[in-house]
Amino acid sequence: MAQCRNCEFHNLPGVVLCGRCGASLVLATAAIDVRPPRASWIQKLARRLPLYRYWWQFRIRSDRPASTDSRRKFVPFPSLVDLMRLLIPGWPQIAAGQREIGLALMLGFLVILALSGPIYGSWPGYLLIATACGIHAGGLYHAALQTGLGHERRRLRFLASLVGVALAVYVPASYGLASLVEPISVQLPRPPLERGDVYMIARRGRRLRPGDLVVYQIYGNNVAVRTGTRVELVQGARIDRILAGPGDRVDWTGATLMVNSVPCQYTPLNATFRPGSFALTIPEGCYLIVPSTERGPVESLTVMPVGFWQSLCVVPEYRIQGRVFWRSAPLARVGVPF
Amino acid sequence: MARFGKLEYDNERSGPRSGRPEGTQGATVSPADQALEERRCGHYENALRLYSRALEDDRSQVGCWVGQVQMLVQLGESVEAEIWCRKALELFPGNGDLLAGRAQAMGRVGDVVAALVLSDGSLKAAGQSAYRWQVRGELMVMSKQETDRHCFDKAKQVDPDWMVSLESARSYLHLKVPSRGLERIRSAVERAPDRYFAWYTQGEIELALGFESAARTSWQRCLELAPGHVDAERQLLGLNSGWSAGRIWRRLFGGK
Repeated sequence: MAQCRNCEFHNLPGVVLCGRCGASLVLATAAIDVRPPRASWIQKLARRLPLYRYWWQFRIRSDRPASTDSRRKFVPFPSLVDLMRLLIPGWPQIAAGQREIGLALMLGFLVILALSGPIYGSWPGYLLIATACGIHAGGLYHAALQTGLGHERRRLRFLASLVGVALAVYVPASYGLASLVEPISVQLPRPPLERGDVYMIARRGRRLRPGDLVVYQIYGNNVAVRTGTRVELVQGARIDRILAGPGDRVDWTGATLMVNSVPCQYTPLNATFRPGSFALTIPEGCYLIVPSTERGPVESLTVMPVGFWQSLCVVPEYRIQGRVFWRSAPLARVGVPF
Repeated sequence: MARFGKLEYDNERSGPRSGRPEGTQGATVSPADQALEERRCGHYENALRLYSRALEDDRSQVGCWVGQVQMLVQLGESVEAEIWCRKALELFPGNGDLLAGRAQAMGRVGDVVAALVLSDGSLKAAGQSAYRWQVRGELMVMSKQETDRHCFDKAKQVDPDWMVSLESARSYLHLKVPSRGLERIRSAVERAPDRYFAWYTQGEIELALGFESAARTSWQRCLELAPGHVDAERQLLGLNSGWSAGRIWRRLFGGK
């Protein structure tokens, strides 16, 4: 009688396979490799990485038929739809049936983001944007909590979703926003501009025309203004109004600025500013912008020759950074400027 | 001085000790028994080799196949353990312990659903063993069910050996639930206070819980029982050094 080592069933002599369990009865001397496969140290190292574990989970899940996947909450790898839901705050919660939490997150995010719009560029604006991002991050953490995973996996999932959402939403959004609008803050008081004012400039949009308030660059080699014994170089970014467009004939020899022999309907930002006398034609691709907010005494500028005014006030289009359309700080003066 | 000649001294105190019982150091012990002893000392690599050697002599020893799988799992090679278990199950179809081993391996690689199915099969299979209940308990922890304690208790009931409590504690440690593992390892230490591996594991669990002074005491006790225990020395060195990145991480975020 040959007893099976597996199930202890007594088989008849001469039988090769166990009649009950099917195990080999001549296994003791069979030619079988008994040395198990081993993991290399690189494999062991890789298996300790969280990314590997996620990849492995994905492999397991993709190998398994959908019908046997009755305990999906144990599998931490989210589907593509789940990932897409993470991009919008509150959506994962709404999809999971937690409607109140989801709507609260979504509305909170949208309201705070909307409030930050008019004061974008100022510190309260940045604070509101950070709060909105915090709400989104809170939603992601809440979604990670709902997975029922262990502490470490939950933390990893939260971090991964945070990075993923940042890369998928916030980085492109911030680049896109920066290509459209840009906040510029006034560092030195230049009446009527006050220190701490923040102006929003549109980098793209409609074509510039006389009357638009713009930010433009004055290059340093243009002029030095003598203020007492000090010589100041007129350079850097300035905000002022376009007074005449390309091809216009400008004459400021009299009391008022004449554009194409008609009194100009616009004034520089500092209306009291009166440059020296000059008459010129604005070349193509250029605009007339008078740096009226210059800090130096007006008298020091009035003595300059015509060539000086031409180099200072005729601004090529490429030096114009954008059109000023909004003042977002201080809070008391938020609105359309001037 | 002849009257002192018959006094019984603790012979082990006279020289360096390996921590193993003397009977196991003889040449007459079978490789399977040696493997078991190595396993009790925490030398899983040696135990795996000895299980392989035992199988070279007789391939029909199911316990050695199960032991190989267990050692691979303990060595963190669960993927290989699962592959090896599949092979063993071809030779011993429906073996409960092999099914449990495969369940443990699959659970550790993250496929808890399949592991639970295999564990169900292992418990339905003929016979019973502590290992099947241990695996069941581990899977209960993985699937966030509260019955893990009962499973480990059942394992202890089936086999009251201290090693069962120790391996239960190591399961808890692996699953990052050291608080539940502490009572298991204390039970193991109470039953086998002369086993350095129990003290070493207790130190590991205490450190995971943040009880640094208790861990230091446990490892010192481990070193008393097995002078030159490399892991215990390394752990103590880490504790005694002023700071380390791991320690700061543990302080800030918890965990092992």
